[in-house]
Amino acid sequence: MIRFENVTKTYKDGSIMALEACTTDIQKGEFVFLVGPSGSGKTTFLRLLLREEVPDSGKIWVAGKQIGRLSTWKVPYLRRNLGCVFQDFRLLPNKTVSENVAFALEVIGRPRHIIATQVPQVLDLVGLAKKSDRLPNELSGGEQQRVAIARAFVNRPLVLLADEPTGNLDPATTRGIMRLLDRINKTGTTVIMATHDFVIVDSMRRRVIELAHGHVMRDQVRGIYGYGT
Amino acid sequence: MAVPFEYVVKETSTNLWRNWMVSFAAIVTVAFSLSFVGVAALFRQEVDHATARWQSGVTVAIFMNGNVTARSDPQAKAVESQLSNMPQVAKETFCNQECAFVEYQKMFANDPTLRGAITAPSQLPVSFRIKLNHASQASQVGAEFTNQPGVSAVEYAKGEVEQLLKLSKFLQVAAVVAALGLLVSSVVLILNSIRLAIYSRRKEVGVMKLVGATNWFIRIPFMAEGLIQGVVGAAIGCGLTTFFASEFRKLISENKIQLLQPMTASTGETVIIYLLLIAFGAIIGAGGSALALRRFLDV
Repeated sequence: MIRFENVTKTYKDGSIMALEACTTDIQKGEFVFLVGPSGSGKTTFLRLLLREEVPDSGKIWVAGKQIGRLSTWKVPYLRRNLGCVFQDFRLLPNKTVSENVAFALEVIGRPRHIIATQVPQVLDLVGLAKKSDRLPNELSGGEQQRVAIARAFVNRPLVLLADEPTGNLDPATTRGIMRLLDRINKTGTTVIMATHDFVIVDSMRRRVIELAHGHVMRDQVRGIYGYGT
Repeated sequence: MAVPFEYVVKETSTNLWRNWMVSFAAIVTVAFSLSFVGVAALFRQEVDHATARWQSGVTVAIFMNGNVTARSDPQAKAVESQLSNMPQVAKETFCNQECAFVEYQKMFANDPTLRGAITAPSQLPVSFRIKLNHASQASQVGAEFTNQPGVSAVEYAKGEVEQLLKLSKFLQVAAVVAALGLLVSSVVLILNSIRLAIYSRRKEVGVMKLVGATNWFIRIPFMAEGLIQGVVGAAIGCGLTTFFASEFRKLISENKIQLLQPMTASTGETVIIYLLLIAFGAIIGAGGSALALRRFLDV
């Protein structure tokens, strides 16, 4: 599903090494935690997958395509296969919950009748069916993140990328979000989650890829956070 | 990929409304700059018509009687040979009945009554058009032919005609210079308004990129915005052109610049000028937004 082969990425003309000769494989349907201290290359890893960045050297495959070779106009079609969730939710404040989710389908040109059936379905999945007409600022942080997950998942992507999705949430809310991500993973969606939260990593016992200084330090099938514990 | 029309209308109108002051400034600038171009073009046409007889330095016209219909007529030949012997004459040309008919049609382009009065070239007199070495010798040269057999009338280009031709040239240069300056500022203003629109929607644009909207899907509403500003500006510019042109005509008649013919441009010509202005507005709008998008929508 996803393969990194000797991927190196530097910033500022090579003076900052973000990833160095990184090689890893992620299979379809896996749940992977990407751990490591700040600056270890987690976010770069995700940005490379989204092709917001291009590697200096090495190859990256997503769903059988080498994305370094992808021409610019094909990048949007790559991103339709990758759902994205962030620490800061990135919801549109002037749109309601259902409008926020529908927007993701609208702008990739999905017909209206599909939007009308998909949006309530996915809101039901994330447990926000009753709040579909609220604005984001009327919701709690956990609820906002659920909306963001609904938006990322409504197009049924192959992979869900989550960059510290629980970074702004309290432990109880975090557990709820993790249950939701687990449910999404059980539908066959690959989930890659970058996180600092050792509690959830240790409790879920999923595959852990630890990055440090741009290198893969550890890759365990049923790992724990291991860092700082 | 097709971008739904409805979506473009919705997004574009929101954008225009959100930054209406900047849009307004862009539209007004386009309108004024294009109206300068329009007035200059219209005036050029009008001067061209009113002075149809006095183009390229012709200052004297000798009209023959109705019974002289060809250059080979003995009376015409006499005039011609006398002209070619005069040292003051730089060049003489013969205007036959077809030539006279074309000229007549042009001079009364917007006056159907007068234009309809003459329906065939045979109703018009032939004439000689004389270009002199010194325009000041016009009356002296003309006087020699006034009583010539076969000559019905001698006409001179008056000072006003020369002034008008000079004014027209000056206006064309001035309008082009002013319009160029204003055109640059209208492109910049449109660029700026599109930039503001992109900036005020950067969150939406970010989400659109994230969920895989194609670049065209993101671009088209902004391009439509620039295009609308350009075209609306040009349409207002056409209105301004009409207004300025009529004020200008008043000014000319009030200052007693007496012309043989009224200042008019035919409806067809006016329509063409207006269509060109609108096409120009569209180009400015599209150009401004293309510039803005190139810099701010890199993936």
